[in-house]
Amino acid sequence: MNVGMRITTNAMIRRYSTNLNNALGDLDSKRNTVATNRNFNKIAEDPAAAMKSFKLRSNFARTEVQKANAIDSLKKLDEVTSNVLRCADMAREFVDISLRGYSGDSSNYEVRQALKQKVDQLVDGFLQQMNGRYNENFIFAGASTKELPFEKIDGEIFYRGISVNNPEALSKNEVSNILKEAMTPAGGTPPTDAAVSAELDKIMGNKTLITSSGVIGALANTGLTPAQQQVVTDKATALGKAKEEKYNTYMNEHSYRDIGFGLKEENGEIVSTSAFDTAVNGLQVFGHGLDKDGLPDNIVALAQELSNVLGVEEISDADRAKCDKIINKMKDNYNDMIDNGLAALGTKAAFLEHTEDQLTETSQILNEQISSLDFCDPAEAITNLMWSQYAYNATLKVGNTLLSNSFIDFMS
Amino acid sequence: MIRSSFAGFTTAQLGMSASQAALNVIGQNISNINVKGYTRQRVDLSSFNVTTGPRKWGSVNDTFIGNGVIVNHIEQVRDSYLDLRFRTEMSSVGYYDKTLAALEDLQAVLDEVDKQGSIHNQLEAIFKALNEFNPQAANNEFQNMAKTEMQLLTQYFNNYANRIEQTKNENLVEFRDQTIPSINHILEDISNLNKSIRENEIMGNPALELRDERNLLLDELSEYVKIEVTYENKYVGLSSKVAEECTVKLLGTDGNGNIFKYTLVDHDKASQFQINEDCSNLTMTDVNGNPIADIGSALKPVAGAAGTANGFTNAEATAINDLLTTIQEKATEMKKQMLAIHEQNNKINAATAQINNWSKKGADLHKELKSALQGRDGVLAAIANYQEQIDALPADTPADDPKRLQLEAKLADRERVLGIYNEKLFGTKEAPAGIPADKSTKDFTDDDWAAWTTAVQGLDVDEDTYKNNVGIYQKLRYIYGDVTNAGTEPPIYATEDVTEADGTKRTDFVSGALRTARDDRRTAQADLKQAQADFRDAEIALKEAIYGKENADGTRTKGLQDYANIEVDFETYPIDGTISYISLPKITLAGTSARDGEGIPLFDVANYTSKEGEDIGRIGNIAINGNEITITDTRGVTYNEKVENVDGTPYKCETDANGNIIFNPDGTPKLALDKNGNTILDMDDQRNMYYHMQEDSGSIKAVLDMFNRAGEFDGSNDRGYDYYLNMLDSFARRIAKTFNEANTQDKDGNPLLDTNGKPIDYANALFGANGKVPIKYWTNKNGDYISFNGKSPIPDVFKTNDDGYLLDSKGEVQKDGNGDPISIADLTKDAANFNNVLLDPTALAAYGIVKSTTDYTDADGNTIKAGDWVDKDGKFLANGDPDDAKSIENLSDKKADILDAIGDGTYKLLDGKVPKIDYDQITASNLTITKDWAEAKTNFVQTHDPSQTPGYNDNINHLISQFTEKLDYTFTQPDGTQKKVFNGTFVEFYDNLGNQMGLDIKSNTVLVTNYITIANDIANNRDAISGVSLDEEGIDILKYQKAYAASARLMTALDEALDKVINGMGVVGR
Repeated sequence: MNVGMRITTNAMIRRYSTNLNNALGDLDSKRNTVATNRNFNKIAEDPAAAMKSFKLRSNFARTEVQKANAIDSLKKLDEVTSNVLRCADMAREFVDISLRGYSGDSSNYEVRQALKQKVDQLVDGFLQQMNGRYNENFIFAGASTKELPFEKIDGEIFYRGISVNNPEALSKNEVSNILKEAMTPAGGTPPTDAAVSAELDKIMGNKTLITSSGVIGALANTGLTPAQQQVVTDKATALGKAKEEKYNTYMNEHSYRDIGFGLKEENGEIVSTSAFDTAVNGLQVFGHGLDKDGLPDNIVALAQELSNVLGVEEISDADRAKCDKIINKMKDNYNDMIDNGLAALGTKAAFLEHTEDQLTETSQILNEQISSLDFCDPAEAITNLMWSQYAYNATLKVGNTLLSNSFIDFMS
Repeated sequence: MIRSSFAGFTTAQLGMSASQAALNVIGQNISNINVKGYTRQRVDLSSFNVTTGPRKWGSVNDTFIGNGVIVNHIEQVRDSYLDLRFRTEMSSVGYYDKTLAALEDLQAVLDEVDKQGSIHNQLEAIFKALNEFNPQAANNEFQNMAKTEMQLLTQYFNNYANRIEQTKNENLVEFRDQTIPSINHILEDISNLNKSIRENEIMGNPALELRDERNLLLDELSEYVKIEVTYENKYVGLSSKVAEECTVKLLGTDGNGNIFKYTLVDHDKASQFQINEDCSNLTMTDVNGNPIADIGSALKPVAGAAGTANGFTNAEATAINDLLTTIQEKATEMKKQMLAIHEQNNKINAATAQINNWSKKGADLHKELKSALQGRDGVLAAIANYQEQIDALPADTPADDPKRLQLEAKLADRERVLGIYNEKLFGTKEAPAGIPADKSTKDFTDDDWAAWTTAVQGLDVDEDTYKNNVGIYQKLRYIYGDVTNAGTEPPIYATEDVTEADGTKRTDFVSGALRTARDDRRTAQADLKQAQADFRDAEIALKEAIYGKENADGTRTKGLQDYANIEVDFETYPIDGTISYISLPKITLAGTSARDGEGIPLFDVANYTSKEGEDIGRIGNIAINGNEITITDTRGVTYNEKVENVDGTPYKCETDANGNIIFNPDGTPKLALDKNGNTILDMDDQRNMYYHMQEDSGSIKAVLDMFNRAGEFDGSNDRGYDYYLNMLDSFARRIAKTFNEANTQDKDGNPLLDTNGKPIDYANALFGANGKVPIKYWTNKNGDYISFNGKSPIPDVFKTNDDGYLLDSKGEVQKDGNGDPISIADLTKDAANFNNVLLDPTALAAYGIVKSTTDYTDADGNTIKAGDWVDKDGKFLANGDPDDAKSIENLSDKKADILDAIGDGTYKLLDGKVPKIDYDQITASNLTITKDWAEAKTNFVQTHDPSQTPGYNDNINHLISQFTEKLDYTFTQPDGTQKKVFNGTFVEFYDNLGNQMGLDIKSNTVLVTNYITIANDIANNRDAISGVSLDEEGIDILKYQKAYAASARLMTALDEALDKVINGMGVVGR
């Protein structure tokens, strides 16, 4: 304002009402801060802080989800661990009690039967644990949650449709289906079950599993026409290959969870280091395939193999030797076999626990940051409110005196 | 000066009335102190002193005393500069305040700082639900949880978009129904006040209170639009009295962004604004009610034959230009002929002057001749007398005889005088040879006169200059030519019969100056007649070029007014150096107005010059290029119009089914009427004033910016409602697209098939518009269906990249002849690129057309190999080409067959599937989850690997990963390709949108606060000058009260003084 500017009554009133309005506005905003405990209630009040706050809140929400994922994964792992431990307990008990008590005289059928019963119990016990669930999902089925992982069919242990001992091996049923298809003339009636069964016997004999090359090799013994043989060869090869592929898939299965490593895709695949793989492959935990002696490396398959050998009425020398070998392997390595699986799980669990701690910490830090950004310091806010109140009151007071007198009041 | 004894009383009385007037004004000021807009008034007093001119009897010692005070007038104390500044600032306040208000409406919807339920939170909720779903991929209840969260998100989108839409609509209605009418009212009120003020002023009342009212309205108007107010004193009628006229102009821009002033109020006439339904077209009628620059209403359409198009063609444009050229030519001709008339008049005058001159001179000479002849006769008589006396002397009279000497001297003197007469008559002292030299003319015989005549004719006459001829006869011959008889009085001269050019006959001298002058006058008269005729012809031709002409045979020669509505105003212009004037027209297009509210001149005589050889005036021009008419007026300003908008009237015309104007029998267009039977102003033809308003000024502009500008979406600077709506739409589309694509195709864009190689029945789009999935069709740039072999519409089944450009078998973008990429809108069956385009496998899968995954024999016995194309029934369609994997999609020559079969409906879409989704039809306001998903016919695809078992969750992880993926957010351009508006994650996009709005609000708040502060300061300054201060008025009360009392006291003192003189002096006082 210019010095010496003419001051008029209305200018004074207008200026006063502007100032009063400002003071009231200021008071209102300070009151709002105290009442809501927030530094800003609209983005426009502080766009930079609001932007930061949104980002923090988003991070906080994500962290909470990731923490939940980590906890959930950890629980699953706990479940897995406890199931494996139960298997270990059963195995140890079996080795310690049943095998120690076993005379070693495998020539005695009765003795063998007694042991077989225990072995079968063990197998069932194992299968029960191996097919354990967490949240209604099978925990050892890799990425699959609804497919029964381990199954005993005809004295053979299968993991989701493939033999744990020999992934590409075909089952009796599968070979029988192939034969039936090959023996059905185009547009004609299918062969009788007996005819199929006769050919099946020629190929498999008393074996429960056979490789595709085994099937092809045995075709010469059958009464199949060359054309039929060709069909069987093709189909068996294809099925064998499919099984092998399935095996490879199982061994490379993942079920990723986002636990805060920046879940990311590359070429449509999750980058393995950007997430946590919660898939637990029963084959990897409990072993698979055969060792150099041709014995199963899988604990339940090994037990089942023992059961199979023990179940034979007339035991051969070879079987007896095998029986001994299995028992020895069990005695020497059974616990190790399980512990190997456990160790891998333990590392994962420790990693998850660590991650969960970190996420919890992150979440706390974020929370603090959000608080300091979004929420006001009550002492400061109240002080500010008081000042505004004071200023407002003072302004009101001024208003009271504004129109009190003019020259006219002093005119006589 | 001697003052009267009572003069002092008058002084005192004047003082009292002045004080009283001042007190009355104080009363007015105090009582109006709280009236809004009241301007302080003040009495203008001046000292009164009767001064007279120089006084003859005045004393230098006189003392001049004033005669008191007079009240000049009551005036307002106001600073117009502050008004100007205040109004300028208020236009900015208006702009930012209105923008801020609109943004705050948006804030109420989009600001999520203190909202629990929000898009931001909902995105996090979906993220959470997907994470919970992830390990439970095979469990339906978890899928349903995720579905519910997504459904909720769509509802947020719907809600936000609808609320913005609603806010926009409410503001549209308010603007249309309240703002525009109120600004029109203000303009009318101002013009009415202008009229009242002027009327009052003429009556002698300064109308101060009306001015206050007008100032208030102008202040109010300045918030709406940026204005300039000018006042001009104009003479009232023919008196010397002036009264004020006020003009208000809108400060806008012309087509090139330069400042341009549009007249809003011209004294007592106001222009008016109109706005269309969606507030995209703000138009103005000028103060005369003409639409601004609506050329269509000024040009007359040509009625086509029934069923053919009406129009305005090159022929009409050429005719107008020719007529304008004619008008200019004829105007120039008129000037030329007027100059010629002037010249011939001058010649006639000059010749007449000559004739008069020679006639007078001739008459004088004849008198002179007569007296000279008489004189000569006298001298001759005297000579004869003296000679006789000498001869009578005695012969012996000596030579020195005094008498003899005396007589001889007298004789010699008379002979000398005779010489003088000879000189006078013939130019020589000696009379010409052959004349009877000693004979008095009284005694002349006819022969003597014949000799005399011959002598006169034999005189040497200078034909060049009159003054070189010294003798009377020489001079006469100069004037009258040859003398045939010198013996008459006056002499007879040679004459002849002359036949004039016009056939009249006269007898005139054969030669001589008089004859020449008469001939000159005759010639000039004839030339004058010709020039007058030529002038008349030019004037008629000019008027015919304007008005046309009815010919005798009943036909009509068309003039300018047959092609356009014109206003013709004749004005007179002086011809320099003459007293003549010519009357020339100013031709303007009627029924429309230039952007400044003046006429659109086609011909005017600005820079008029009457110099010969220079063209008169300036002409406009009209040109047609395609269907675009361009009129250039005489000032070089151009106006454009579409041919189809030529309707000859500012009102809407009735049109037939083809859009052609229906004509009345008299050839004028038939006007359309509203339901009340009134004509309707034709909005479409007018120029949009929105584009002629200055940036960031006035609330009208602010509101229109909010309605019409969409930031990046239309390349404008301001983010209006549509920006936020478009952003939400882009966001909704992005989300729909991400989820739909994940649920319908694998990472390579191939369809999702089950283990049998058939499309998975539940792998369909999750999001759509109003529950449905909009199908994308094959359309051109205008959105029209492109037909294929006569079939349309055909869904888009072509393979494109993410930008919407067509791909070829090498996966490269197809280009046209100029190397520009082409989109589906450029594609037709006949296009050069048609053979190269690919079909999209996912789009084909919607019809069940897939690549076989196994070898088999189909129902028709065809052997099918894996990779061959088969239809939904597994029947063979085309060989896949194993050597060129990409060419498989091409389907080689089968492409046309497939398009045909799609077009005629042979191939039907599988349940729930669409070839391609028309994402442009999905908006934030209609985004929903699909009906099929809601009814669980469609489900989440958990894995992209068909061979896998339940529980596989790679697709869910894919979706989770999309929450951290930086994605492109785009919108579709007219050519069907995509333009990016943002890149970031879902949450980043939304946060950015909110932040954008927050920043806009913040910057607008700062600006509006600044402008308000400035405006307040100016208002205070204005108040400091114009406001009423009670203190000041109080002081003035005292001041004038005292002055009043003092004047009264003066009167008493004077009274006492006079009393002394009257009652106390002289006898009475003794």
